[in-house]
Amino acid sequence: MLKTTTRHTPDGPVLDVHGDLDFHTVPDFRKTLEGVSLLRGQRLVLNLAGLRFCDSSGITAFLVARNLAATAGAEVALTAVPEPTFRVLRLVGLDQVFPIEPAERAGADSA
Amino acid sequence: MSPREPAPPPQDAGSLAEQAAAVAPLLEDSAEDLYENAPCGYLSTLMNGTLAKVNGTLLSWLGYRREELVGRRRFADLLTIGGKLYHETHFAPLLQMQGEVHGIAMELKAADGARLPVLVTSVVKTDAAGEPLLIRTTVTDARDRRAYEQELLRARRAAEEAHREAERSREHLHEVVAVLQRSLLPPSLPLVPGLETAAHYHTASPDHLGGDFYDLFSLGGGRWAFCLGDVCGKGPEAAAVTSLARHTLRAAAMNDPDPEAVLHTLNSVLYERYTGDDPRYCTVVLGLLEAAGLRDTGFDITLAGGGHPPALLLRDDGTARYVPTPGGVLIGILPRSSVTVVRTRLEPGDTLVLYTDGLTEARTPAGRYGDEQLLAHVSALAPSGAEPTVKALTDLLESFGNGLDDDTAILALGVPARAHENPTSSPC
Amino acid sequence: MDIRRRNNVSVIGREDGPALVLAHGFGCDQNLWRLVAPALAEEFRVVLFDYVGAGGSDLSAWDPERYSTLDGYAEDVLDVCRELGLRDAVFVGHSVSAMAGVVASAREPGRFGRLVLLTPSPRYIDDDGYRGGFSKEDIDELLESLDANYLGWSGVMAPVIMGAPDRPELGEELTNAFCRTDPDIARVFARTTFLSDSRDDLAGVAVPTLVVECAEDVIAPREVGAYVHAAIPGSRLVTLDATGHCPQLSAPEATVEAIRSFLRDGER
Repeated sequence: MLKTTTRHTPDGPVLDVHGDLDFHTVPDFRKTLEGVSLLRGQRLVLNLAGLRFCDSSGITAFLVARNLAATAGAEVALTAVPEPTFRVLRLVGLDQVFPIEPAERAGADSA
Repeated sequence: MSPREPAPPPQDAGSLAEQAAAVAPLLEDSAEDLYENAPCGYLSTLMNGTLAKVNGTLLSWLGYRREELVGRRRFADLLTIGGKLYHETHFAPLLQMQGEVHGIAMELKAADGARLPVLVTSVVKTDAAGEPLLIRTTVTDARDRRAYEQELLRARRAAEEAHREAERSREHLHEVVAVLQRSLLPPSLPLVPGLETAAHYHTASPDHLGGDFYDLFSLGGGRWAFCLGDVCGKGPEAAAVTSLARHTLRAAAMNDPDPEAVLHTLNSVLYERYTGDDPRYCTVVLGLLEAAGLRDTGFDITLAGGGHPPALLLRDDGTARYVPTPGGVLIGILPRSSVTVVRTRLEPGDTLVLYTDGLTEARTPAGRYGDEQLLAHVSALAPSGAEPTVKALTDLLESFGNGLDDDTAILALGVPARAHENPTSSPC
Repeated sequence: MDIRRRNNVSVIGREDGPALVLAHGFGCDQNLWRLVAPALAEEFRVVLFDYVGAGGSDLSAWDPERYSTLDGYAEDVLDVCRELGLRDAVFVGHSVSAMAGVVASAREPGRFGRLVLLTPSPRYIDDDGYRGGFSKEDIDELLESLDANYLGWSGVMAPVIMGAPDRPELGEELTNAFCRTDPDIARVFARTTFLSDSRDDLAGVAVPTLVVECAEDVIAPREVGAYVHAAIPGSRLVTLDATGHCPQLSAPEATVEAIRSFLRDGER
């Protein structure tokens, strides 16, 4: 199960991800990503505070987001990354590829 | 009821008889008429099947006159030839053994040759002593029902045929998948002097091509390259990337065996080929083996990793540890790859194990198997040669059962322990 | 393999009597012998069994390839004989089983000292100069009848039926049980029975043989009985005053008497 909601902030959209990112849910997640409008210079934040599980399909989805943002001249950041997912990101070196922000910042945006 | 007629008084004994008399003409005027004109066929035969009595309904269905049948023909004569065979092999024996048979589907032949699908029920009538006297049979018109049943039968046969066809297609698919899968792996590992090697490959499903790969090949001059990796995704698209990755690694290593340079080449190939909303990338560990001395002295190893789980090193002294390649990033997602290189040495009795994350991501009752448990497991094995280590890990994979839902590749390279260190192995 | 269980073998009658094997034909199972078995048991050690696929046999042992030729049925007969260690026994085969017995007898000489062929036919389909009584199309009609009548068969019932033909608690459930067969198995047996041609095997019968026919039998008409009698050297032919293809049911006393008298004559 996966649920996503999109919020807008002055810096760009924030996508709150709740549930699992796996083989079954990622196709829908990719459609959601494609529907997000990004302007040049904006930052798309994927708020992973509600992420329960993420496998390699989820990792691919993050890379899709990154590629989509790059096409629009924007960038992607991850925030509130749960520990297990963070370990995977570090293992595959994506901690060097994505700006990873602490949870407080996303909370401040939503306030 | 007409309003002018007085309503019969209730609870009057005489009125019940009056009512019965009033409705009698509306019902059967005689049992004989009911027999003759019942909405089903009646017939009686002697025990040898000779027709003794047939009702008017059946005669009209079949277009026979009574005198053409009674005393002249047997019940079986009214059946088609195939029906006679069935009658003799099933119906008659059952009737003789059970005394009755219910609702058997048959076809009667009418005088004009037309066929009438019917359901036949027969009962043997016995005398007071229990001796069989005759056979009473009812025949019901079953044309609609038979048409319906034949429709069901046809649908069933079509479904069975479709099922067989699907099974054939599936078998064919499995063959194709198996052949392609073999093409992604070396048919056998080459012999490397002074090195023991073993590998295992598990595909999650015979329907799908796995995305894991490994290889071991000579670079000439006493140098060898080995690799093990995992392409993202499953199925034919992933297999195409796997094939591309394996052959790129081979070609690049032949050109310049420096592991960092090899992974840079692979990264460029994948990055240029797959971009946009269809990123294709892989994790990989690539290594270079060089004999450290003339004989039995082990190998120097240069390892480069791109986002892959760390290799395991089982030492001759009974310890085991990870050989991390930190900082390496997935191959194929950045224009310029970030690769880390580490060097280590494989001494006699040491074994290096490469694996994909199917092993550590397997689901167990206590959650994902994880790298700590894996390290604990192989620590208990050490020291262990390539073959027994792969065997132990294969057993571990099997123990996961349905918890193992991803492809898994394992490659182990070990230097045989020095024989003199184990006095019990001395022959005499 | 447990042959006794596989073929639902039962042995009744005089333990010291000569062995007599009763083999049922196409359609039903060993219950077809129920009216003659008790009388024969007074004198003989009577062996009853079901071919694999019929009655209370082990359906999991059924193999479409094996049971697509008469040899497969002959093998069942020999398996039962080997299991019981029978030699020089009397084989009584009904209908298609008569020919299975001819095949078995030729394959392992010594197993059977005598053959009783009850309403046999070596070929059901007409051929040049031979009248079996049927055409290929007639057999297709029979297969249609099999398809139209499952006789209460259902896949769910199979495990219950197997090995438990006489469980009284099943009562009403077991109507038609004697002839109830998996439809796929019945089709194979029907084809094997009605499409095979074993005329050439008859001349090779090397033991005293009794051919029993009925006066009126649509499946094995009298000219077929005469053919079998003529083709088996030295055979004896008895025509029962009975109707139908199953004299063991329609004329049990006469059937028993024909078998007894044939075997008595052999003792002299």
